[in-house]
Amino acid sequence: MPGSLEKSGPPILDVRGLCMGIWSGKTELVAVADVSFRAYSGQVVALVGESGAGKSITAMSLTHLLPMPPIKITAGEIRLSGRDMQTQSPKQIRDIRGNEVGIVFQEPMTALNPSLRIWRQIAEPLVRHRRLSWSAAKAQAINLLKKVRIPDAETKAEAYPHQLSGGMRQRVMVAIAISCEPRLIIADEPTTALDVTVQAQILALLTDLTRGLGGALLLITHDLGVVARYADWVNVMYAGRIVETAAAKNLYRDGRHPYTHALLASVPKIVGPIAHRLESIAGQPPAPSDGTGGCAFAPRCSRRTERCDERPPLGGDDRTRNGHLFACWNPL
Amino acid sequence: MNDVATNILDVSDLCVDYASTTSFGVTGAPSVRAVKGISLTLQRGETLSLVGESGCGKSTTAMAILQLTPPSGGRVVFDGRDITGFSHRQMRPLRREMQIIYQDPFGSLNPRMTIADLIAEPMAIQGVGRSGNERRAKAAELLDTVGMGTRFLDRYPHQLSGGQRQRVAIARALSLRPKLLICDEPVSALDVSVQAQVLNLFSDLKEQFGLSYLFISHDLGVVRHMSDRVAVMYLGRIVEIATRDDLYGEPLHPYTRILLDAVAVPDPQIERARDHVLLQGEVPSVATPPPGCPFHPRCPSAMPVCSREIPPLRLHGNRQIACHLYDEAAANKTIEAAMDGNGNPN
Repeated sequence: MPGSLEKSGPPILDVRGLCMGIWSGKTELVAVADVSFRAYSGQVVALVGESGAGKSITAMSLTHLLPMPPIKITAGEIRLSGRDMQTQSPKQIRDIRGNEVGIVFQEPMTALNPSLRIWRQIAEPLVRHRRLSWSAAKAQAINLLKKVRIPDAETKAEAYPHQLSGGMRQRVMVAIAISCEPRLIIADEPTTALDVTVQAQILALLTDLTRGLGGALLLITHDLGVVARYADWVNVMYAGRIVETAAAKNLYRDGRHPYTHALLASVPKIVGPIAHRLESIAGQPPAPSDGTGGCAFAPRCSRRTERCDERPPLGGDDRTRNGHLFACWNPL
Repeated sequence: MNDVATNILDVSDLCVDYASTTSFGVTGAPSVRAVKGISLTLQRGETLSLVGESGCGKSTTAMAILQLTPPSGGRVVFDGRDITGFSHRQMRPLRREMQIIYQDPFGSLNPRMTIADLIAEPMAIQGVGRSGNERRAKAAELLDTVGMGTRFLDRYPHQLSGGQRQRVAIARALSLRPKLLICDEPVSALDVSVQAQVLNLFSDLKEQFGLSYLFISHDLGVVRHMSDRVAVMYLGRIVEIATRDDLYGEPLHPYTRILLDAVAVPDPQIERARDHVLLQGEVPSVATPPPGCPFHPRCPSAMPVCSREIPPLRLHGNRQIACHLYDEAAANKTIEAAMDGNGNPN
């Protein structure tokens, strides 16, 4: 269950004005523009949006997991526990990755090494960062497998990834991510490839473990239901920008950006009234090359006015409080 | 049950076996029964959904109905004709009337054909239309029907977005004016805003062309929006089949309940108030199903009988359910049903 929005101490993750470009061979496309968000201890912070919104590229930039070039951070600041990530040397980044920041990727089959036994992959960060001996790390790996509730951990530790089900593999990913008790866990669509009952198990595990460690979870997802169930704070992204940011309960009850509204309305739900037609959003999400000077959502927006040719700033008004911000000239 | 006038599809006791091959194609282990005695009916103009987790046999059921995978048992009656075991040659004239839309619009469209050719291809194969020009004109009309302009006619699939490709796949399926459309996870690869457009298109086309849908999806929200009736599958069997409102209003089978409970609702207030029962473990392999009820090892309400006897799908009120929890109630209702003569509420 979601934790509190109390900000205990300084933020674990502080991203300010992040801009990223992709060199296409001819021009530099804007992939992410002016993205700012924070994550505090005990919080689950979501980046939500459709494909191409810039969620994953934002998350992967935090620990330099992107090919640079062609991708380049053009402006902004990323601070992890106060340190500026852009001034860290590659060696320092390697010390942080897997140690202070754990990462769970969407596809465990490609993220795990198919030719190494499970325990070996969990033990690796412990040997690398904690300087444990391989035998001590193996014992710890088995403990971690128990912690992520893999039955018969001793036997499964000796298995190879292909011998495990998708859900089990994702539990192994979680065990690797938490092995060094990181301050921040980044989970990029961690359950998209899994069945719904397994999805619920993995997400409950991830949020419980994060809170247990006093860390923060950055959850990247396109699933608004998952966000509602697990996230404390939500950043809605569209075309590389955050268009609305709010506490989860405020966003769903009093979302102000037309995109947030349209997105919520277009999800068919398992409860509530059934409309004959779903409210759909005309057109499709823009590609990075489609950038204009105005609001990126305007071409699909029902509340569009002339003013939308100018980009609306991310701000609040007298109805929003507690850091709820939106970028729209004609909010709901 | 075999009411030819109202049922477009009548499936009884359908079974599908897959030969399990060891490496290099040498058959070793006995075959795996992926679908175990599925019975369902689809009325004209109705949408029946099959839901369940991966590996439960939803897609295999669809392939067996279309005779694309040969059934190893049971009967498939389409529009009054028993098509069980029909060869590809025998099926060909019937393919006009039953079309399928697949999940992946990237894999199901030939990348070397233009959109016009892709939509016209089924008509060319079936000999519909007198000339290529006539078929092209029909393709243009169909593109318009699915909400795309004729400017797409000479483009290639790679120039289209996922939503547009799925529209092309729909236009292609509609080109032969089918009576039955099987949709196998048709919106799973799409973003939600685009998914809503395509779902609305399905609703419109159903009215416009009087289609019947067999709709396969793992997304319970999508299924609720689209269906008249819903069949929940687990490990190759139907465990509950009911009208949409009955199933979502009061799920009775423990698996249906847990499945619905696992779906997160996009509303934090509802989510905070819900009491989550996390399902333990994962779906067992169809190759080594547990004895008795296939769900009993994970079932919170399992009783001793559940590990011994497979519960048959029985009438319970307006629905059919395969669970020992409803044994006694079902026994009484069976008598009523026998007099009533039809298990499908309208």
